[in-house]
Amino acid sequence: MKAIHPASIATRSLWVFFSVLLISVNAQALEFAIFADSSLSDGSGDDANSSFAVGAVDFFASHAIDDKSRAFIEYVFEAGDDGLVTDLERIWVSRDITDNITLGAGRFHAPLGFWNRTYHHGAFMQDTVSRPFFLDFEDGAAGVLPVHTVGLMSWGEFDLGNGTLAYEAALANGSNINTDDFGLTADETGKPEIEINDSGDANSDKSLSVRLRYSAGSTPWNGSVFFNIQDIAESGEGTLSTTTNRIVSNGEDLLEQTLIGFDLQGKMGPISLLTEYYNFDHDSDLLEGGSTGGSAYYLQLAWQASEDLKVLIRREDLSFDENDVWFSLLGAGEGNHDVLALRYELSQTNALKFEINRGSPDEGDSETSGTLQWTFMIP
Amino acid sequence: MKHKLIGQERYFIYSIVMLSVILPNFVNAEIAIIANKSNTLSSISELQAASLWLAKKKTIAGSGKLKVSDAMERSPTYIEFYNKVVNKTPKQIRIYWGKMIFSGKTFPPPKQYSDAEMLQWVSSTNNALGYIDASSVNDSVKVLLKK
Repeated sequence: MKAIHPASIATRSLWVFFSVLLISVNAQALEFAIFADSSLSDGSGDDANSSFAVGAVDFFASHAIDDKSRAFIEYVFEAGDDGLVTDLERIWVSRDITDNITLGAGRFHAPLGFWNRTYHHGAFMQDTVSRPFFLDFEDGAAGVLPVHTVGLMSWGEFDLGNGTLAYEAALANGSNINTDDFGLTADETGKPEIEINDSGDANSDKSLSVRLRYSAGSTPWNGSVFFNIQDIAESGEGTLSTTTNRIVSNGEDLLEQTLIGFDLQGKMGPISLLTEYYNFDHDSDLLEGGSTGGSAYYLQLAWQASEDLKVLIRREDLSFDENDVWFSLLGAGEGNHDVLALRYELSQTNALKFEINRGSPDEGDSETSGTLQWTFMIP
Repeated sequence: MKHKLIGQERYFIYSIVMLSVILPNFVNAEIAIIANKSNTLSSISELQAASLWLAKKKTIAGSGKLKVSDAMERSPTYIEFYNKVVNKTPKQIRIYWGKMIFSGKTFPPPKQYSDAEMLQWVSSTNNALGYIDASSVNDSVKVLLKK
């Protein structure tokens, strides 16, 4: 059978997406919108130049197929080092099983915390220019979380009288890592990244994620707890375990990962708070160290200075055990970021954001960058 | 014998056509929020209705879980409802649903193509609420609010 090139699949998918979009817009049966942004940045690093950049252009559309079924498609166009990149970001179809249970299948944003589920590629949605560095996408320089998932997902909510309890649960392909890239750094040919497994899985072990979110009806405070359990498999040719002195071959598990975390959002007058915490537990005999782990958090405070102007500060931190296999494989570094940001609403659908971001890795020099971003939404 | 339209006739017909397209958007019709007859609710406030149609709430005290439906976007009924009851413009509603859909929190109500379809859906669906032009109300449903 003739293999279809991924680029060809992407092109055909785009044609289908825009054809459906055009037909459905005429029928007024589709809800769709676009997020996009453009920015100017400068920094203190040796390689930092003052430069303009087009950000991500995010097309998304949702269609109620019937009273109980719904489809969702999201495409993202991004300018990368190799030119324009097109990503089929999310695609799923769902069915309401009962009033409280919806079941969907496809590619989703993993139910891991508020930022990933609420903002993701929607630059217009988030108040700052950047996202917390450890919430970077899998193919990003600091991606340490499986922020996408492919499989089954169920969601729904229950009215508890004084509040609402919502849930999101995903059973999906486990993540892989190709250790053929192990040891590379971001400065070389690219770093190993978390593979999402869009069209298959290296083994039969599946990833389980659950997020429970509580919204108090009478107060402006919401929060959630979540976990993700999965075995990370080898997708390369294999690698040598330094503790057992045997090869972990393709499809075998490199490590067992348990992620537990929480998020909290709230407001007191003009001050609002947004925070997330992640705890990583890893069990592996690949490297010396056995059971290891790490943690990450961010804490963001915002002051609504006027109707249109918001001032924000954010602290981000990632730390982990020295011999932790997950962070070692990904080439991640410990450190923290401090962010000072302003957001000015030009209208309901476009805003100017300015951010100063100081990154302080535990090893290496600190770097400071400033970015001005103009972001908008086409509803 | 063929009759050719002279200039004034042509402009008159064009004007009628244009008015028939534009005028419905400016008609200030009365809107009725309707419910299935089995529903225990006897009335609804504008605030309660706004919460339901923006999917901020699914119930009103003692009502059980309610299902709401929208008129077609850009229809005069839709514009009137969101203007008078929810106090938002269609653009504000599109922004709101864009954000909600993107974050996967909730999705807009299903849409009915006409008042007749809305009446049929509400009268045949338990716990259903909808809205129509008040002049279209019949005895297959009960009226909770006129605005």
